Amino acid sequence: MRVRIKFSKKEPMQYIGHLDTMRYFQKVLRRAELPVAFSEGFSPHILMSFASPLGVGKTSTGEYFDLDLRETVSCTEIAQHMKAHLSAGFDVTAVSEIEENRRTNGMRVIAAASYKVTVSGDLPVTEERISHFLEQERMEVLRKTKHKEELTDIRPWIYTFGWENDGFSMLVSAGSVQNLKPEPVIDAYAAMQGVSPKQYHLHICRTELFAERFPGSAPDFIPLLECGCIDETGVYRE
Amino acid sequence: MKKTLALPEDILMQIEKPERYIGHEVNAVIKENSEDMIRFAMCFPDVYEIGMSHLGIQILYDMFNKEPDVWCERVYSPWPDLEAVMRERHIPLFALESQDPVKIFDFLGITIQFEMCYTNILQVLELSGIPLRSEDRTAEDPFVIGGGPCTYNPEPLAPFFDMFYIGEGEVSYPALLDLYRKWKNSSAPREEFLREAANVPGIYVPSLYSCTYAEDGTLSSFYPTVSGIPETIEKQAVTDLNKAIYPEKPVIPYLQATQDRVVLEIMRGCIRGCRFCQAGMIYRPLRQKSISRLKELAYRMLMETGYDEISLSSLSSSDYSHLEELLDYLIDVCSEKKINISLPSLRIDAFSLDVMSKVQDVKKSSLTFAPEAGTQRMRDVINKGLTEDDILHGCREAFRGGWNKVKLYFMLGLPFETEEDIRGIAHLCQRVAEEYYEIPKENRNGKISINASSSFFVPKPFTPFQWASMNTEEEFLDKARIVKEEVRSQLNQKSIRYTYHHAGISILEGVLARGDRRVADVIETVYRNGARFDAWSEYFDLEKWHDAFETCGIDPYFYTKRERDVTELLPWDFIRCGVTKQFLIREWERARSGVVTPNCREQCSGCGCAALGGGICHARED
Repeated sequence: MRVRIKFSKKEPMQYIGHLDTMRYFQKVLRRAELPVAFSEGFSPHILMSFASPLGVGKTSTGEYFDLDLRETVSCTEIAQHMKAHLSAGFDVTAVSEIEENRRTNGMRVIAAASYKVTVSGDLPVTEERISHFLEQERMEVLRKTKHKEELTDIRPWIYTFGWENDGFSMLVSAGSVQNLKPEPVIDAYAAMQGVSPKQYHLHICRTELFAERFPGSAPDFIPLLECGCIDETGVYRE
Repeated sequence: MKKTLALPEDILMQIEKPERYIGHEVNAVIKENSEDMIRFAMCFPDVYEIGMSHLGIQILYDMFNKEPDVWCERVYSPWPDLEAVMRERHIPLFALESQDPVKIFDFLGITIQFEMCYTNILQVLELSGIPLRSEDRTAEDPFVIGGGPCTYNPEPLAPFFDMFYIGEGEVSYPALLDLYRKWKNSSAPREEFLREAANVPGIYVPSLYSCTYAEDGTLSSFYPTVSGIPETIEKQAVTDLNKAIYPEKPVIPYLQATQDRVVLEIMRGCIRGCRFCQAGMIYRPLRQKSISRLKELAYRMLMETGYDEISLSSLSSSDYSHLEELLDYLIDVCSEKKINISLPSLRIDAFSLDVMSKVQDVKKSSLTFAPEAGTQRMRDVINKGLTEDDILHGCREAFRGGWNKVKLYFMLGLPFETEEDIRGIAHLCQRVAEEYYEIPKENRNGKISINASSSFFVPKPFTPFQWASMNTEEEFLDKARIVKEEVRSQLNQKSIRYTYHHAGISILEGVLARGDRRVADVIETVYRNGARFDAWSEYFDLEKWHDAFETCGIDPYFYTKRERDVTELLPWDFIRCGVTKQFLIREWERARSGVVTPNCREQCSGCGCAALGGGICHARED
């Protein structure tokens, strides 16, 4: 069976890099004694695939990886076994059984990500400024690709952008087609207020990863947990 | 609320690998702090990934933390990028678990595994805000205690430590802690504790000893300066390893450590008695863990850690009496759970090849031999019980089994070495290649690749070669050139790659290994001039060391090149490490005449370690 595991990565684990996070979960799964499936060959590894790498320094409440198991185990049991072996800062918050085909592969289906960004420093925020920012038809920012720097219009990749409680929240394009990080969005907003990135510091938390509800449905998204889910009633959720 | 991390976010985001400094690893021990808590900071003076791979600290960490009123935490050397920031922003060095400054701890224990970390020790002290020299410390400072193999000659570091622990930590720490509890509740001065500690077996308090030098610069006397403390320090050794504590739940780093696997210590000590090898002498006698204990430990550790690899640890795993049974068990458990078995330090023979072909990918793995010397005569001098026949036979078997990569380790500059021995390294490589090409072409697995490397011999205390003259850098490099040239004139030279170690580092290692108290000034001077991470070639700066020798008026050749007479008082003679001086002298003489000495299983050679109790010298091995 294939399951999708949702986890959070909080203070102080934001400093653990992506590869080390993967290695960490491999050990958790072994300690939890779950009947994980292995690849063939001389150095077999656990069949798991992480949805999207999270940059060092960012926390998250919406990380995912897909895991293959040799035997059927209930989602609740998987969550409980894993939780018993997690260290502070990591938590498993949901588990769902998903279809075993490439179409629903966590890495492939990601289309958007939501972020909560708190700012320390001086950056004026009012509803008016935000709507003024969003009214722009183009937002050209300098983006570095492998070979060159080029001006790119990021406006089409920002689906929502606003202020909630004590920070910005946004829904932006993510995944293999167009991956927009939250920093250039805030920087573009700040630039409009005449504030340079040196004047503030960002605390970024990724809150969810999304797939398109059906192919081409953007900006109509569903959380990754629900994408390819086989049995809604068997889903473990907190 | 107490902040979680000692370093603020902006620093953690600007330095390399912030995971080195945040602690919070799985199985890290967090205790509720209290007034009575004895805080012990355990330091490996190198970067996190290296330090986290060290078994000794994991054992002591586990042992200390089993005491309800002791909280042992870990400290590693900050990488130079962080050191610069800490200095600029006045951030003191902290321990990983509590993230509290080291300065507030009761003890700072430093394990001293190799000579080239000496400058890092001073870095740790200075960044902690602890005076470098014991004499300048006050009630505000922790007691700084050193342990590990380099403390078998602690003298070059003597002024920087309050105490040294000579031997295996499992034995005397309980007594030292008891003494500390009593002292902590009294209002007695710091000196009082040190004075009392000097009577705990294995504890050496350097400030309570003094020495004089003769006109020729050699040591003329070494003595305690107060009465009522011992004149000699006895090495402490565990007698029954089955009863010794072993960390079943070792701390598991997030950052990939050099040793990223379960490490199963199967025995301590070595029966072989290679004359260049300090570990083979100071860890005597051989003590094995029982097969039942090892099976239990292996299983538990794999379950508790979730590692996907297990490695056996010992000086010579092939000498473990129940190796076959242990490996059968491991192969069983590990194949089911898809766990790798890594087998370092195995003698290459039919048995080990069979095991290796079961657990490793033959195409990827290479065979390792450590002949150490190129000719049989030289191997007899160093008492390396490995014959050319063993090597060639092992290779033949392996080549038939599909292997085509061989690593060969040698040493240059061994005592009584001749040019024939040096050239012999190339000849041995050639004969290994010939073994390969004797196999019919259709059964060969491509081309043979032979990687030969040589290190430069550094005489170490408590070995039969402790009196030997060490080569100069030029001599080392000349010898390496001879090998290189000889390799090039071999028929199969294209299959042989020859490399050699940094000669300058070896020279310094030589000074520090057999130095006396006067060398401490050099270490401090070079540290003040910026030397750090000398074991890392990207930071090692030989010029800085040359300058320091000059500034301090110390001649490095006095410590390296000079052959000592066996009657000379050596700086480490006050330590009793088990093997007696008479035995070492006997072995030195036998080396001179190229006579081998049987290993401990064949015949007892009366090295003196029987007096330590336990191990192969006493009970029949189980």
